[in-house]
Amino acid sequence: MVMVLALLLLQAGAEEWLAKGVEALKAGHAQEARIALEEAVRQAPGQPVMWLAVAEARLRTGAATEAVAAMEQAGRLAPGSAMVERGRAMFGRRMGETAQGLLDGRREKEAEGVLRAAVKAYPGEAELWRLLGLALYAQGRNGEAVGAFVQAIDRAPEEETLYAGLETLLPGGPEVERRLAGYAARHPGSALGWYLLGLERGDAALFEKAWGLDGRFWPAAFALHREVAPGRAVALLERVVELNPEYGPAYYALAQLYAKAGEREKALAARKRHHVLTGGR
Amino acid sequence: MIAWLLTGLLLFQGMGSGPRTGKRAGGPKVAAPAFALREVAAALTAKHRYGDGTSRYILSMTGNGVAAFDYDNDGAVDLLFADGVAPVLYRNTGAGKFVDVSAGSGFAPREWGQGVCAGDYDNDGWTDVLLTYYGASRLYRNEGGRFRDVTAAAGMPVAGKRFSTGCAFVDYDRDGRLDLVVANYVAFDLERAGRPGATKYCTWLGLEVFCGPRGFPTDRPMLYRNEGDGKFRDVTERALRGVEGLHYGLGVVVSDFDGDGWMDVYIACDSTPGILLRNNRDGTLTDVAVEAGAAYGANGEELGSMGVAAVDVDGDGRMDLVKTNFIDETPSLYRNLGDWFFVDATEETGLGSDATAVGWGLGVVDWDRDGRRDLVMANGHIYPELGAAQKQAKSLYWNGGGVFATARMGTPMASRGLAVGDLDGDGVEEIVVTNLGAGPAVYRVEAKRGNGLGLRLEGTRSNRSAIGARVRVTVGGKTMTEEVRSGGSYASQHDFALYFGLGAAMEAERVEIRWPNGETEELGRLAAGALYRIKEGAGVVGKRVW
Repeated sequence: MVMVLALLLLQAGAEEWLAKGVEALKAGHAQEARIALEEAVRQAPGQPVMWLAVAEARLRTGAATEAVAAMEQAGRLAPGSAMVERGRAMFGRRMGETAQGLLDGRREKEAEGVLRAAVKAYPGEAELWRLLGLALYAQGRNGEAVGAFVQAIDRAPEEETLYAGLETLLPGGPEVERRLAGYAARHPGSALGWYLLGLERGDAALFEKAWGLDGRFWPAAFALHREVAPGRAVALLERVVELNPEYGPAYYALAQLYAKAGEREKALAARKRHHVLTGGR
Repeated sequence: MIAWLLTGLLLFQGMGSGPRTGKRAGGPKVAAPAFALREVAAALTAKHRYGDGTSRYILSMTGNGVAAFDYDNDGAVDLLFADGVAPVLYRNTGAGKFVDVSAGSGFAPREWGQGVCAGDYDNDGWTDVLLTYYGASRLYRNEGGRFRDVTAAAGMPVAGKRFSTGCAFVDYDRDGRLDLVVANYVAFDLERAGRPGATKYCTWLGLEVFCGPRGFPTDRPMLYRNEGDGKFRDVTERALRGVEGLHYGLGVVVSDFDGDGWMDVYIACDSTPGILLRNNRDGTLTDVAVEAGAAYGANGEELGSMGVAAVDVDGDGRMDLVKTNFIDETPSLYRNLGDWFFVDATEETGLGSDATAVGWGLGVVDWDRDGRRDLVMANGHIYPELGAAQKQAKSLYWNGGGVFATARMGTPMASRGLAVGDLDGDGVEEIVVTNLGAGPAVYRVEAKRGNGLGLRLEGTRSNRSAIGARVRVTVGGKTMTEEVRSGGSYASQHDFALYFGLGAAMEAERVEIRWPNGETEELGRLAAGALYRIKEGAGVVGKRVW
């Protein structure tokens, strides 16, 4: 009887720590929440809900690997539990959101840490692989980034936006080309598909094809301007800035062409616009 | 929808140049006659030191400049190195052999030396120097072949934490006295600098490396006016206009870009737009780089620019601009179309054919004396973490008449400064290169040469160094244009003498000098095979035949 009471008291303590931790999470006090929830799982290590909560707190405090471990512990304690499965799915999305937040804050290395843990726990999630590709690209690790984007594509090969991530990394080699060619063949109406394949192969005809398919798809026109005579290049670039007035490099390219054609006033205006938009970046 | 998504992606990525065509840098090709870069034994034996022995700070990678000039007026070109511990002065004993005369030279030991530029600021006939530092730069007056630190007496700052790099003497107000322009790199505090890997600005391709330049506050160039009484006055605020933008300044070159007789200034900047200071002829200069088309790379991107040269590459009498840049970029060539309008001609001239070098020092040498200016670049990566890959061979660009042929030559080193001068007096310029973690090296380009002549100018009514003088040499109906300059390259100083290739001709048909004060002087015909000494108002006052 005494033992049962003691156990109840202990359980009540864990519940209190859980409540305190959840409140702190809601208030955005991640560190405080983590302290409370770590104490909760220490007191009640057999409760899956405690592990779900501590997983969130660990994630918010930058301990992604430990967060995944907590999530896995919840799964081991309640295999097949609907609650745990829902929690696990939600946690995967949370990891993606957390990584995205870090990327938005230009904290790429931290984002990579979260995403490395995430793709280990959720290897089938294309979006997590895509984000990992972005995190690697942002650090200048282009080869690894291509690998991550390819992983994403292999998990959702019909998802067009996954291919877009490769844009500035092309050409990416035979494995990338095979996937791009496959996508373009399966989606012959996709301007993006032919445009990316064009970048991979350095093939102006494919830019032309993409531009022909979608006269609003300005990246194809921008790529194409380098491959055509100056007169047409100017026309293409003027259309690019019409479609996307915020795209600085198009103004600079226009300025170059205007300058070479002796149109100084136009060149000057385009140079100034480029500078205002980009400051060179 | 897809276009929108893609736009979003590009904006996020934000650090590249947007969509690419998949093409690498390239351009037209031209076949060059045989040439080779040969290292010359020059007995530059002093121990050169730079950095703190680690790769913790950006300060450890910028290295040093070198000045080639005749400090003792014996007619031979001497060498001054802006060493990391104490300046090293070598006297040329003749025929290109050197002796270390640092002890007793008057130069004081001081850490973190960066660049050097030369000019006779007091017009006493002895060439003075400015040494730039992390800390406070030092003005040394040449008093009969011995140097004295006159920084404090000149009214220039003697303390601080400015990371100064390139510099140049220039008579920007045409009062006959040389003023000073000094580039500043990052706002840097050694005591507060982050460690490798500390932030996103302290990694490169996944490696933890020193922080910067991005992440550090930017700085601006300084302009000091020579008041004529041994004093220099900081006129930056009043005189430099439109430089409020963000800049990490490195190499400085002075040139009369619009041919109006008033010297302008270009500053190569790392990871920020370049600065082109147009002389307004009223004691002020305005940054017009963006409008002029000389601020960015060919795709509108910020370049990691280090060295710079003003050179008439196409023989139209206007000074074009060449810059050395970071890896994955290529050197830049801005062709001067006149009236403050440049156009990026990097790709069409073949200068965009090699994007594998981190370029620093830059020299202009017509090594085959065909009347067209060729280029030599000192290269070396910035990260010691790369090991042997930090060391890179020199880049040589032979000017084939509007198109350059390129070659990489010489022992790979982590090179920085570069200065050009005829060290052995044989009429062919040598190329002096500083190296991180090693002594300097001297080179010359071996090639079948045409005839040539040299001119060493001395101002009388203009500044004594004749900095800003413009020389036009005509041969075979074609005219070559060159200027006497201070600064240039990366934080270095080329010798003041000018050399012209005459090809097969035995003489120049016409030599015309526009002195810095605007007066012109015509010398008529000059025979090839000599270095002529020209005094303002007196014509040829001496010559040394090769």
